[in-house]
Amino acid sequence: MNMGNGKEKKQTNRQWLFWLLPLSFFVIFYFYPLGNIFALSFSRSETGVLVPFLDAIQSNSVQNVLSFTVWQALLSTLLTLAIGLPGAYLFGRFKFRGKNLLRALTGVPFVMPTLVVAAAFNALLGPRGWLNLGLMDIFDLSEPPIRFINTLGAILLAHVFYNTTIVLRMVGDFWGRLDPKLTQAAQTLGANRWQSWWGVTVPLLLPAITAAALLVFIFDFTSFGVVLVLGGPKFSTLEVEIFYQTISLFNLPMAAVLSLIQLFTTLGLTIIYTRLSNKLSRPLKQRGRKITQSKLLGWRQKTFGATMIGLMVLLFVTPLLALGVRSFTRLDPDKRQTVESVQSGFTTDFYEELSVNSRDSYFYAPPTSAIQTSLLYASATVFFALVLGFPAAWALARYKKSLASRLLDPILMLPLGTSAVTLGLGFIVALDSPPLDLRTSPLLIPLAHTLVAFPFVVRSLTPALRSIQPVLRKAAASLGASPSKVFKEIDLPLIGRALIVSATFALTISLGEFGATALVARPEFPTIPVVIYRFLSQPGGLNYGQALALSTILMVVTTLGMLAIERLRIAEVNEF
Amino acid sequence: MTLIVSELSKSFEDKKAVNNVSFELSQGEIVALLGPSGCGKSTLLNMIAGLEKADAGIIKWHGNDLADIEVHKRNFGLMFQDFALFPHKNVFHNVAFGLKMQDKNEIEIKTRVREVINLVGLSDFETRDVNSLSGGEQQRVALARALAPKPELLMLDEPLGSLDRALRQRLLEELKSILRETQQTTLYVTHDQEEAFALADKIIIMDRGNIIQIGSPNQIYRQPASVFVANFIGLSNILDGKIKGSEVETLLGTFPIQNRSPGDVKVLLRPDRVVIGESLPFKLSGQVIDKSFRGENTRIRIESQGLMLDFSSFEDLPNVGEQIQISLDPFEAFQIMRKD
Amino acid sequence: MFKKGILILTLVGIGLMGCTNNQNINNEIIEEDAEPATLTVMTHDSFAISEEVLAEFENENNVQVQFLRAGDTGTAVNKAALAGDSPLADVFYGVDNTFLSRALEENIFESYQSPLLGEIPDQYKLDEQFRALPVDFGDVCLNYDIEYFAQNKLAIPKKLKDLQIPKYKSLLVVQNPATSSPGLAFLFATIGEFGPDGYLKFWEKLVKNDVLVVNDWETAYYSEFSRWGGTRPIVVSYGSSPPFEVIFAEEEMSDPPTAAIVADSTCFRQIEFVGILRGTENREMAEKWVDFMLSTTFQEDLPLQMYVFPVNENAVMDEAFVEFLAVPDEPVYLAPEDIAEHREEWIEAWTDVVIR
Repeated sequence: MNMGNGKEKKQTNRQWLFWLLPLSFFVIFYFYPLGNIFALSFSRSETGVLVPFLDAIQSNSVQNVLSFTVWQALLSTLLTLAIGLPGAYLFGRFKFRGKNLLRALTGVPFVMPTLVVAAAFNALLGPRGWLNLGLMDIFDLSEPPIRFINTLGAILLAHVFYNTTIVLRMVGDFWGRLDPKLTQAAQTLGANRWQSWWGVTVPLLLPAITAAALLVFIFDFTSFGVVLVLGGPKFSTLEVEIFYQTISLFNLPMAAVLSLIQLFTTLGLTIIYTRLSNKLSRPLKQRGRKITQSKLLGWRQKTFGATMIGLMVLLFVTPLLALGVRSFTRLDPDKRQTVESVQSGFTTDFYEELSVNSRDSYFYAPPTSAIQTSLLYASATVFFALVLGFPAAWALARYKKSLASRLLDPILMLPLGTSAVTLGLGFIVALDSPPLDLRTSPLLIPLAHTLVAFPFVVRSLTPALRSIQPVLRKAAASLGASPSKVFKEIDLPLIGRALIVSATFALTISLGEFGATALVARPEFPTIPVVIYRFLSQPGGLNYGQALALSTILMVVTTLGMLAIERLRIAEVNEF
Repeated sequence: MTLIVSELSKSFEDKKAVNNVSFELSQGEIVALLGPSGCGKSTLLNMIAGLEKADAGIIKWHGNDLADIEVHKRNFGLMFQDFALFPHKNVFHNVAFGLKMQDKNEIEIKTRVREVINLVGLSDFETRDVNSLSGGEQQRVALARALAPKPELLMLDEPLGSLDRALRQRLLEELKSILRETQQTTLYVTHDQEEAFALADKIIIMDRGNIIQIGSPNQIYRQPASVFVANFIGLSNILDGKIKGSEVETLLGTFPIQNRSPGDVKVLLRPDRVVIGESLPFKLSGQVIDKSFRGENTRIRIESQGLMLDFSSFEDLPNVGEQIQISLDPFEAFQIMRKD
Repeated sequence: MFKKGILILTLVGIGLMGCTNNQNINNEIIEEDAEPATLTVMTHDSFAISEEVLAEFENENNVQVQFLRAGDTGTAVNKAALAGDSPLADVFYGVDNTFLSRALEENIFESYQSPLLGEIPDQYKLDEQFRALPVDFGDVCLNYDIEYFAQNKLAIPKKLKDLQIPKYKSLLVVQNPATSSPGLAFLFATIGEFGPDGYLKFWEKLVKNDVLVVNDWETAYYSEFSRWGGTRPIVVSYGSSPPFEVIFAEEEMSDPPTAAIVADSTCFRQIEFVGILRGTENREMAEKWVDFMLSTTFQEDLPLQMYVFPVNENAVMDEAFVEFLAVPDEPVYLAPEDIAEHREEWIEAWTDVVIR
């Protein structure tokens, strides 16, 4: 064997070093529990493994559910892109006042519990929401003209509301680093605005767009809460059906079959995606924001900016604002069917009440402690997700063409396509003996959150790492930088934005996750969403008000958390 | 010798990029590695820099084998064709990078950075964003960055490749004076013979992974070792010839030469040894096919006996289509080369 | 090269953790080891207990109780079932009569004949082998918006059958029995009332009368019920919901704005059970906990913590709770065996008629 081959071999062997940590995590906390629950599920089938599959494939209702799941996910993804791409353009290419705040706010929906979002939409679009009240007032109607809850429109709108931030962040960040000269070059070569757009900008953005679109699609494809709460009983996705088969019917073989269908659809999509993205992504000269971003100039840009900002405020901020306003408003029961009802009185009662353990309950958690618990889990998630996600992204970027990368890349996305109900039960079945008796450990919560955050981290970091020109590392090395110095001085600063994006995703995923179905939780230390659900599950104005007050607190905590991460400097990450 | 490269080889898959290459470089010397793209010169440079590992052969620096010295410990400077400036650092921090890696203190760094920035004529650019610089400015920053840590060996990989001609001319002069001034030991990779001739003490000509010829610019120009070298350095009047005793037969006629073994050869007709008119022993006539004004001289192409020949002259020349008479001394103007 | 990266990230992580490191979760685990005994009690999400009452048990028995929350009733039962031979806890509280059959079929409990069973009426003891012991009950009843009915001078429906008549058209919102516990209870109420052969006809008529079905109680109550964000003045909720409206009113009020319909054969009674999980290594302490849950101490704490009724006849209920409370004398009866046998089938049939 000559020296050359030996070196290549050593190189590909070294990639396993990077995979060691993420893969072990995956095997222990994903494959092992999942394998266990599937095995157990099929062992409960009286008709063997095959029959439930055949039953499912032949069943009309399963076919209907599958086709509706795909259909609504497709529609939702397209709508999300339709809003998200112009938004990403705005965030990537322009500077304007309040940009950071607006970007943070567009990410807030991501953490909001579905029931709270439903409450927000209800306040705006419900039978007695502002819109219907207004219309009834203007046109003198006795019935609310707009039916929102339990419609396909509600599902689509909620998906757009939740997931646009993925497009805004992943594509916007990428766009912000793209050399504007490339488009200008195309234009000097005689391409008109649209030609240079389709010929240059879109192809260059495609890696980021496909990555974002895939994540959005998988989220929509596995949608549960939105479909259940806003879609109502007439709509059912695979995830809802899995929940129904598991919880209501305890038909585990059928649930397992549906879970596998969902899983393999995700896997198939991801394989197509990784094939595509390997073709699409290439090292690009990165540019600093000083160069790529300008103020909104001229009537064209100003109109565009104003429209997009207006649209985003309307879509993302108004529902949140409605919640916030409502959490400070006392409803006057006598006027409740009129427009005035929403103005009937300012109150801080709900907030004050949060700090009162009115029932002397052992499980009472003051908001400060809920915030602390939430933040603790969220920081642990950010930490785990980055520590595990970074080496994986590194290996994927470095050894792009190796067999391991091609095999593992799609697999890393699987947790997103996995039914939370199934995996949650998997934890219980599998992690039941020392040293892995983690079923009731508080550690399990951030670990489960990490499983969801991990694909986001990998998806954000890999393109960033791949887009670093290798010659920069060589240049640094030739100037005397040791490999670790190269990492610190070149790689880290150049992927700084992507790191921030990853951390933000991990943070928001953890803050918003409501792990009741997935886990066995310690009730003394509830997270904010858990406390919100406790309030919401009981009748009474004070309960409802407190749920909204705590939701508002969650929004504020999230916004602050995201703004804080934006300011965080990871190992001298420069503003660039 | 400062740098000794002996019997170095490197293959990519089945293709030999560098084949059994040996050469030497002494202190303060500027050596140009000249060859067409893909000839293996960049690979050779990368191996010396430590960015690629050789399949076989030895590289010695001051007598020490470099095989196990990692790239960042060699203290060689490397300047890349597209400069590879760090986009997230300004001019100052790009230039300071190597010094920072040497853990120099801040004052040392500042002083040295100022020094090299002044040397390359960018005194006012310290805080500029490198992304906003023109090509020439970027080139200077890259040079300053490579020079700042006082590399024992500076390697430049097509440093002027992406620049326009006028800028290249100017920067070439500046580069030359900077390298001379600092007595920098330099290995300069280029595919442009003008750069190599203008800058180097010694030129190494490579083709398809092999070294074809090593020599001073003058030697190379006077005595190109092969048709390839002649062509590459711009000598294009090459005729087929057959040696018979003390004569060589070509399409232009039969000429006396110093004794050589008989057989088929290539004959180079040196354009600078030809005069217009009939003052030298051997006379030729032809028709002017093309004529182009090149500033200090004029280049013409003439057709004679069905062959195209190129010459340049300072004198007034006939116009296209007219007849021209030239003469030459065969012993001076002809050089016999082996067939490649 | 990579080690340094990990190191930097680790430092960031530790920095982040550091902010909240004084959290008691970590300490908790250490304390556990120091304590002489720990009893783990798994519950559904709605479980609540007051601090004093719990402290009483803990002090008396020199034990620390660790609670685990395992989701809604159905989810919690499934988890208990799947944990198999290595139970998640020593005791599980929260399975109700709609899920009892599953818990018993899956054999998750060990039998325990508590001496306190004598204080509990037989009607609540659905498991003859005493694997699941009754703790409390609550009724799922129709609730209505008092003001709406007053304003529109509409009579309150007295029987489930009334809901089909045109004057109550578009007034009712119910929950999907496949996804909601009160929804399932209400379906059982209609099956008990109209029989397994008649309930679908009733539901067909409800559909004609524009019944609104949503998936969860929260949406029904807070988005569709006219007391809150909606237009429907009748909602399927709990018999205890009206007192909640008073106790947790935004402003103090003397009369509840809503009321429950507790007429005979309109409500379905949910009974909740506790049981000792099979395979516990803490059997003795687990028995003490079960006894405690059946004792008057805990039973009297129940109403204001979970808004359900004690099954222990000797328990005295808090007045604030009883004041606005209407308890149905005759809730719909549905035999547990029938529920066990037909549950899934009934839900499927209902779905075909009402949803599809």
